[in-house]
Amino acid sequence: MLKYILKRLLLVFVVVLGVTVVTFSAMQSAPGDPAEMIAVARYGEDLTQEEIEWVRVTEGLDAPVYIQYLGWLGHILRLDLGKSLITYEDVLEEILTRFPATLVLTISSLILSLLIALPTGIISAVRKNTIVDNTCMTGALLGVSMPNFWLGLLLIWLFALSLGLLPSFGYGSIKHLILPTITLGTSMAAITTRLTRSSMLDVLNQDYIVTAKAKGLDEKTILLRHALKNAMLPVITFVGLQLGFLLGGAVIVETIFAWPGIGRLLVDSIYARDFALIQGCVLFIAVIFALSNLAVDILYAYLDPRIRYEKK
Amino acid sequence: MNKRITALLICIIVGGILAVAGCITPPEEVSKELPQEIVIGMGGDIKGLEPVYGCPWGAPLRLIYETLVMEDADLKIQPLLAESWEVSEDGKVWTFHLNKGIKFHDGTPFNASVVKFSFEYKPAPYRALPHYTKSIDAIDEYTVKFVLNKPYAPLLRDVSSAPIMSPTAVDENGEFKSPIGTGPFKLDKWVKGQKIVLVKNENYWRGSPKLEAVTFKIIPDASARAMALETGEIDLTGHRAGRGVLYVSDIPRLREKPEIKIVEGYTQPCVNWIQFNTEKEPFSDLKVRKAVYYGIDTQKMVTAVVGETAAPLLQGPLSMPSTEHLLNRELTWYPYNPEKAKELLAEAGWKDTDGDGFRDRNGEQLKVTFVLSAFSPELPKIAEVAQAQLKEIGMGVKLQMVEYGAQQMMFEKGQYDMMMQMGVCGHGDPSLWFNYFFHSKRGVRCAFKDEQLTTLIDRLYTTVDSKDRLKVFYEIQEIMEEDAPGVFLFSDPNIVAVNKRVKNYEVQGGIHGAYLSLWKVYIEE
Repeated sequence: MLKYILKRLLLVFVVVLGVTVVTFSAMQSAPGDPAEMIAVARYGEDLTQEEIEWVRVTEGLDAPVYIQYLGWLGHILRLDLGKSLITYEDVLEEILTRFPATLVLTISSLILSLLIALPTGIISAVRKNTIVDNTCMTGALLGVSMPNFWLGLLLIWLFALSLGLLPSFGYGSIKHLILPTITLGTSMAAITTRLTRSSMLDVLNQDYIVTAKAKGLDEKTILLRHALKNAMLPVITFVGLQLGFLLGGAVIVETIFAWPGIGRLLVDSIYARDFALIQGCVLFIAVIFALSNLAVDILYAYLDPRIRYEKK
Repeated sequence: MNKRITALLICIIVGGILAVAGCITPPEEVSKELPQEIVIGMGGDIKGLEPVYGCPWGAPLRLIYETLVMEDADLKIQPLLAESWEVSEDGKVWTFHLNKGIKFHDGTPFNASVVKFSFEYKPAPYRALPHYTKSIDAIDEYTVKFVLNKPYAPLLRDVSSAPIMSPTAVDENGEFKSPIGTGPFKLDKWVKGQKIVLVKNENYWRGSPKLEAVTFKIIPDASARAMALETGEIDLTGHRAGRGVLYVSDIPRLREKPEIKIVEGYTQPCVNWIQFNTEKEPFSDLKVRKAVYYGIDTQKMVTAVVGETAAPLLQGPLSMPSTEHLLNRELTWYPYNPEKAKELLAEAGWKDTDGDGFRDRNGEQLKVTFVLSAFSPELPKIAEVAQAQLKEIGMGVKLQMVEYGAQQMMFEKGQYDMMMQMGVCGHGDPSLWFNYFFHSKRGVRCAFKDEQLTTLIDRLYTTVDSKDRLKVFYEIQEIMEEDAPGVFLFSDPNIVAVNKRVKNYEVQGGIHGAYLSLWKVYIEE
């Protein structure tokens, strides 16, 4: 098991290194003159050529590309993501102050989605092709099809504007958390429900379930003891992936509800052409994603002995 | 194993809930509901507290730091920290007489040496220092003199956007420490990405503000911002300077709300226009440019897309309210006339020979590329209207929507036929805009190269006498009309939606003055 984890960790490292290369070259090939963009973001559009050149020199943007990359990489290895080009704030610090907001929203929506998706998915599978199943699946279809920004605005309109029950935006209390959680959680639940259902159906058709039935076990035991455990494997993989996505910041939901998370930080930094901050955010998100995948892998190996012993 | 999974799941859920509970800071002590607190919705955060950031990011800082002079609601220069000023005959020496007895938030006295410090705090090319400055001298405690290398007409405009800070705002190494100005409000706290809270400066030199606090909340989505106004969570939003732009489509709805008032300020001196690439076919031909100008119904387009609050520019770039005194009224420009447009195109050799609705010449169709970025939601709609109107005169327009940086690059490389261009925000004098787009020293960023125009723009800066300067403005407009480097469409609406419990609010001072009137605003239910 330890060896397995170490091997995976090494892979994470390689992936992150790849991400640095991709991020950096993407930034380099983005249209527009970085020096000019930074100058505009900092001082407004009324610029002279000298001012742009001054920014280029002071920010080290006149050095050859590979020197810039190696410099950046060297700093990263020392856990220094550099300073924002616009606000001069420490990038890592900036990211870490935003991360709790994203983490809170991620966990709450993940819990909500699981609370909805698992029971619904299981019931749909068991009561396949009945009214219950069809209702659940229609609901899931709606959930998948409804864009987040629309659902979000709709919820604001209903709960904040018409009913006056909840705040329409902001961060700080449980009340603020409810609407963004519903927006994110329900759309996630929709997909998980469908996955749970189909995975459950697969398992229920297996021979060993038939055997269990033949043995005369009651339905509850078959479902919870024999079927559910095996049906959960693909669901766990999927939820793990979603966790990775969510920890990278739910850009749209964070924007609509003015939620100060990583996603918004990234978008703001893109608008501002803040290269250091963009690179920092992307790298951070990549690391988080890789780590949550690693966690899934480990959990998977723990749950399914076949994987653990596969390549011994 | 079953039990272990259950245990694991329970652990995850409980842990999750604990994490959520732990991460969330205890609910803000149910804000004491200050009766005299105003909450303002902004689209984006400020960049920093140092008074060096360009517009429009710095608008909230204008309540902390003040300037020597300011632009009023009509974009005219008014005294603020300086009570009066004079300029020498040759336009090179500007003397400011400062108001006496003003103190910074921490008690540091405001005087001439402080002004000198503020302007010299960061070396060029930072914004605070006006171009061409030779020296800034403190003559006595309350007189400061700017000596320039050459005459510089818009100096007061530059000074109106240069914040004055206390020397105690920086540490001994000259590094910025904390925001200390003379303004009506002081910084209480800035929670990045969320809010900026200012509290009143009781010793404010124009009288203690009536508001106890001003809170700026960051709400990036314009629709969400409009709804927050309707729920009463914010009291004010909308001014461009706060990046708090309202969608034009939300305004009629807000107008109907009994508790909300729409305040319309002076439109900013920002020109939205369609620029032609005059360096290549077909727009190197003046006749084609004029045809497009005749072929676009500016009035109708602007009213339909931007609403009645925007000023359509029917007589060129200076035909907006704030620059009416500079308008050359003898010029006719190009009132909508599709027949004339068709004639001009025919004269230029563009005829529809194959009857497909689009004109052609020598087997080449009259189809052009119109490049734009979705900087504001109105721009793509404007482009679509232009596309439809130009189809009427037989010109095919392909819309190409790109990111702003890409648009800049295509602009510099000339990879376009028509391009949506916007205003340059800075201050209320149009010299800035002319200089930005039409001065040949801008090189590849010059939208229309013309030596005569460049000379005139230089004279706009060096001519201090207002009568002589008016003549220069007239001549520039003549060239603009004659050469039609673009179709000038509209200047941005400056609209603020405000809850009626906010009294005494007015939109002031163009771009930087979004919140300048807050020092005398009060709340009354």
